Amino acid sequence: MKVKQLIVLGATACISFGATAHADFDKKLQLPKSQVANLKFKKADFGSYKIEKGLRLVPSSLASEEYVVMQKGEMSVVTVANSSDVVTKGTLVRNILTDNLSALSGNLTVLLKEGVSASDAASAAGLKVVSVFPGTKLVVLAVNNGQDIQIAAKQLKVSGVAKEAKIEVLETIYTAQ
Amino acid sequence: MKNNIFKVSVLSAAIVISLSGCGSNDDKDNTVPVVTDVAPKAGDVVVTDLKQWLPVTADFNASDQDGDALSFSFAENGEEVLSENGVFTFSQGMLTIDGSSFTYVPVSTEDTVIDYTVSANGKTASAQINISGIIGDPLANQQWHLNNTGQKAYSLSNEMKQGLIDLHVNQRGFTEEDAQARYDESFAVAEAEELVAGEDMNVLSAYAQGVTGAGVTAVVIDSGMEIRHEDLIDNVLPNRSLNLNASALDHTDPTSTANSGDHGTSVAGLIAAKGWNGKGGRGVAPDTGLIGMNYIGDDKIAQKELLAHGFPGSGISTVESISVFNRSYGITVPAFIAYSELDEAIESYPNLYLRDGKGALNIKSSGNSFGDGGNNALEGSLCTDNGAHDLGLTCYNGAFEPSQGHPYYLSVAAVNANGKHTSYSNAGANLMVSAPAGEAGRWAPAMVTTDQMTCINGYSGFNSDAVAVFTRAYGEEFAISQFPFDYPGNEDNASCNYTSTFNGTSSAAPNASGVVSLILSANPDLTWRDVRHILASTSTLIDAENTPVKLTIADGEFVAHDGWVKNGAGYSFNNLYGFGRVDAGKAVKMAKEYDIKLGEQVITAWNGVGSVAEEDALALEIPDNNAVGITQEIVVTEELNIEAMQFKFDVSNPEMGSGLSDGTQTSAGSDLAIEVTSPAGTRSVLLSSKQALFLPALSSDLSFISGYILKDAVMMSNAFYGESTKGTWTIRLLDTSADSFVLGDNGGNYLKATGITNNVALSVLEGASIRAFGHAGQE
Repeated sequence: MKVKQLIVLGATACISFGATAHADFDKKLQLPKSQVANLKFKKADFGSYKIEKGLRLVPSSLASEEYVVMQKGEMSVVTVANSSDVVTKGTLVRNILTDNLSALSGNLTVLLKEGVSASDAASAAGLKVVSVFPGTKLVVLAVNNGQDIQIAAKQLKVSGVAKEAKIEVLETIYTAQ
Repeated sequence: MKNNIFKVSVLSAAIVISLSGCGSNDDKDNTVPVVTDVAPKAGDVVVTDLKQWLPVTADFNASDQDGDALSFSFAENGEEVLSENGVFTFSQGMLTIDGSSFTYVPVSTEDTVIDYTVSANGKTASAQINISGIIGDPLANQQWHLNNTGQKAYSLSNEMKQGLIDLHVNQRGFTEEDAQARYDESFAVAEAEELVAGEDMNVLSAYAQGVTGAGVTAVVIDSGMEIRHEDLIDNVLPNRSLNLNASALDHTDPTSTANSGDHGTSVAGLIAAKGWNGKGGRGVAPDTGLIGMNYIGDDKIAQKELLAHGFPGSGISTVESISVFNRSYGITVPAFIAYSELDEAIESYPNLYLRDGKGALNIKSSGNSFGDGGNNALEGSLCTDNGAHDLGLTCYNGAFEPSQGHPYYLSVAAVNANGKHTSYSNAGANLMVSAPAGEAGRWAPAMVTTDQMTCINGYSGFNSDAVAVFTRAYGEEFAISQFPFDYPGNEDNASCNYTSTFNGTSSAAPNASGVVSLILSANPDLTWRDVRHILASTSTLIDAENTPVKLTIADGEFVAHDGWVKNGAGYSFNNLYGFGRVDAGKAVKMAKEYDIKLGEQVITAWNGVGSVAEEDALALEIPDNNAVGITQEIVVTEELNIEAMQFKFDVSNPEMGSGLSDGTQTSAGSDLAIEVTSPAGTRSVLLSSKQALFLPALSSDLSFISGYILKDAVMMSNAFYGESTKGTWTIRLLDTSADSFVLGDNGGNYLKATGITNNVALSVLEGASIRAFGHAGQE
């Protein structure tokens, strides 16, 4: 909804009420515009996502306040001292275009090549089959406990069983229009 | 005038009676019998239990014992009412005559009395048609997109005008008289320009054909949907909606917990707010079922993309009558995102697998970035500074989003209550159709639709963001005056369950979804491709005077926008409007009479040269600021009747990265223009130049590809619909400017760039390829 895009949070602006305003001013009563949220051309780890190895998503009831970075619904994002290098289900990633933090589902959505089955693809990367959709070449595979999803995605690519595979992030990149 | 008719009628009767009396003499056996023509008879007609906008047919209570032909005339409140093209228009409805029957369409819910006079062989009789008990929806008459009578839909209100007058008197030193004169004039101008009766989707004509959307279901993929909303609940399929939030306790309820408006609830109302229940307004398809999914946002469950496309697990079966998936969302990034076969496989699932293989349609908003990328625009002020605004060229082309690069998503543009382009609707050759949406609801009407219930939540109510922002800027009293319908206390919106300020291509898409639902309700045997064909064939050419935009280049000019173009198959297309504004009446009529066999869908293989054709990259340099550009021809030998054409490009420029060393960004992306000419000679502009290709190309998973403006970039054009694929396709790429300029946003862009520097390095076409969607033969 376009008008809602005018809504500005936490922005500041200087609004003139001068009597010398342009004649068309009344139709364009100026509302403050926000600053661009993220002004850095960050390097992503995959897609538009940077992996936040030092952050974890935990239930707010278990979070110690001193480690809480932000709230996400009933969960809290906390800093962790002993970060893991394994990128897997639950790992937090930051969208470099929106600065939004989200978790990985641990799934890969895969478009198989002709003649390749879901189990073939799963075997090629040590993944497990979550969903198959008869009549299509789409399957959903998932990492096993402790398995790195980036490595699995590379194995899928190298094995030649998949036309395309995407690591699933639990945010929707789209916004209302 | 009506009295005159009545007097004539009485006089005629008196004469007949008098003559009859004279004839009653004793010499009757000796005289030639007098054949007496008797006046017709007329009795009152009572019509009850009607639905607003739905036709009802009844017989006149009129006869003539002589068997003379009857004719009818009408009057209301003493004034004769004449017909125009066979339609008698009264204050509360319209009437047509068919022999001794009439059909009446109530435009309001008011009881009314129509005086009618029946004439036969010069003699007349009069009686009344009493119409009462009309069921309606109290806000329907403000829904200009359904039936545009020139209503304001709560824009340009008296409260708004008084608020502006008071603001100028109290804060800007105007006299009351000067302020009044100023706003009398500006309101009069706005009313004349923005409120144009007849500029609607011709929905009443669809209803008149007995089609109101029954038997099909629309799926609203959005931020949520308030399934218990008073004006949605009767159309919501119980226990079929999905809450996709990972933390949801009830996954069958996608009601939003936001308190300042739920986008999806307002979208759903435009498609299928229940009609004729005495509440709110009505959807375009007021008897269509609704399923909602709260897809937009964070912290969703796994496989949300698949569920939002009706895959197994979504609860949507392959045999049920899903008409549309409405998708009023998108991504706004000033870069071109690469095409993904995986995404195409997901996004085409509703079309290829649902509704018993006949397909459901994805209806997609084209985007709201004609002017800029909106709040937090990553390209900053680029499209002001590069001249796009002044020229009237789109800042964001709909093609930037790969989901708009294939025919499985139908992209919908937004138009205003005057039948013209809105200030925000993305242009592009990818557009299918346009639909009403309006502006912000102050100086021009927006949509009147459902909103979160109560004044505690919603776009209307105490938490109205619009009121809050205006309050911060200009004070509460002024803010309230500008949104009289949305602020608590309006008698027409006592519970704040509705809003009058919803707009955007988010509104255009559900309006088109409503029309598609009407089409499939009228004829459930149609395939998704038949529906596309009907939309292309029946949509209304609006804004007929829309003019081309010509760019002056060093050695010539480039037509960056063509206006309306009639293609080789006779279809008119415009990059602002697609095939035009949807026409529900014509579409439903065509659906009912449909006998076209499109046959099997045929998709050609990609056919091209260079890097996108698994060949070595081309090295065709695009000369800077040059009206000739470079041309690449691709010959297609396969003959198909075109339903859509795709074009794939790799265009590199070594300067296209995270900014130049002097703190500016290259102009290469902004300067790039692409046009395609079909074998039939139809021209389609894929990129106009001056667009917000500010950042390097993005891969399909959204990682930046430095050194490229376009990489695996697919653009669809609908402009060639119905033409033949066979022959030579001519692709021309140009760089349209040598300008360098300062960005006026003071570094308020994603790169913190201070300006744009004309590209020193030339952009290079590395590959081009085309793919056709169509069918064999010409219908």
